[in-house]
Amino acid sequence: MSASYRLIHFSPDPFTGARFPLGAVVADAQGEVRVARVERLPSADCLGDRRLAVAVQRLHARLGAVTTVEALPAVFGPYATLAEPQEVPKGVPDALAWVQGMLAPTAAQEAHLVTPRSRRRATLGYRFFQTWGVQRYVRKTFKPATDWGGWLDSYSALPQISHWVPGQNQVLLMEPVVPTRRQFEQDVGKIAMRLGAYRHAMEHASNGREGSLLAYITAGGRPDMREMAMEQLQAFAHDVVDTEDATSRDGFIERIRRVGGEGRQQELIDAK
Amino acid sequence: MPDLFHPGLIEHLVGVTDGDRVPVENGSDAHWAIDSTRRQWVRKRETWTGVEPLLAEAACYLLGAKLEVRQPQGAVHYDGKEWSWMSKRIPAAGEHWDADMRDYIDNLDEVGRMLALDALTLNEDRHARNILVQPRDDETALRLWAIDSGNALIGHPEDFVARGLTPASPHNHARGLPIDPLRDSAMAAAQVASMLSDGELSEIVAEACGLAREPQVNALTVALITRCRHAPEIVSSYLDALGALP
Repeated sequence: MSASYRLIHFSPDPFTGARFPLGAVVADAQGEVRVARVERLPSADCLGDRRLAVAVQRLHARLGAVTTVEALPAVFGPYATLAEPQEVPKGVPDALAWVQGMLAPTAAQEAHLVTPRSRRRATLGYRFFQTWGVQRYVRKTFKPATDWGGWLDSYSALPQISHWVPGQNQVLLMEPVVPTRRQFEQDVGKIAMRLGAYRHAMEHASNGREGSLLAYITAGGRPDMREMAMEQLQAFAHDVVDTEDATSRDGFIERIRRVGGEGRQQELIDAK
Repeated sequence: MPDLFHPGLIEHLVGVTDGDRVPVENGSDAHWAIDSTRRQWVRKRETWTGVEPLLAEAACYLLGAKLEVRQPQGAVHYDGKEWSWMSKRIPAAGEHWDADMRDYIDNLDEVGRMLALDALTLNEDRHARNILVQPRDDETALRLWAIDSGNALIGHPEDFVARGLTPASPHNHARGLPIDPLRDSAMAAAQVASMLSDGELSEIVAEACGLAREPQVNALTVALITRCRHAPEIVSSYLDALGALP
């Protein structure tokens, strides 16, 4: 059996015939299937539509879900197509690398291409609060030296926390875990270190106030990866919330409402 | 052109040329098409789909417009031999629904209304491929479009009438939609549906039945009016069933 590949194209307009590759699904001589990706994508200026550029980038980020040369995953919409199978020339030792090299842009194409970008983890995570209607309680970026009355001002060297909910006598410090990010595993490691540092500081901050460290795992990703994140973060967070689990999610939202509601009441009293 | 159908509510296209097949699995043999004004469409020919989806598409499209559901513009085309249902192409809609998009929906209100529409028309085919996803200008702001209502039971008048006030089955529904945040807008749409006049609903059914040469206009009209009068109960039950999905 010889190695083969099928290009994965994006065709933004079915009547002009315009198309460009997002990558290729490659089956090596042993039948193992892997995906080669283009490293740079057409810019919004090149495509003439910012929405198209975002759509392309989102599909590119999903190439990891392609596991067969037969068809694209169901999530790929009507503008993504698999080209006819092509054979990799005999004698090529690494079919994936060969296809990857073929996908590299020419110098002339480079000017119209951009490197795929992804929003910050905190930005992606904040959308959870907006969807579930609790964003009014949630503040962005906890700064230990100054926020919540400088509760952790003795530990100002701590890194910032993505989101927080100030209450009357307790604060929720929250880190989103976004399984759809390519750097998900690195994210989990960074979040574990961050929460671990805070946990140490909070145990030594004897000022009568209480903080809870929460990691919340947003929707999507592979179940085994979600499970891995749950297990790793449980040692550092006071609670790890699986937002795909309705009971955990509802409890988390209710907790934000309760703590945030107390905090807003206190703010009103303080303002009088 | 058959005498029964006199296009009034739905645009009647002229000068349509077919393109390639739309490369989507189970896409009912849909093809890209372009009209004389260079608008692009997805065409589903009656020969490929049968006549029932024409009725269902037309009825759902017209009722969906009343409920302000986000759906592609609909139209019909008669090529001298057969009718086609035409859905305007949605540019940049690169994905179908996936549960990992749950927190990035930018039009929750419209998605809630879509659920109400599905409940009323007994559309039990709202699987992930029948929700098309178009980004706005940001990867965290996704606009969901309701597409392909051709399998809604309203396209089968006898079955639709027989179902009475029973809610739609949720079992084939796309998983992972955030049902609680959609509830208010779905129930608001149910209220709107319950207040549509008999005349408005009769007009919808007459147009859709005319297109499909369906004679059971009166029975279907009564059934749709009855469901709309009970829309709050029907939609509420449907949302409960969706919320209970694993």
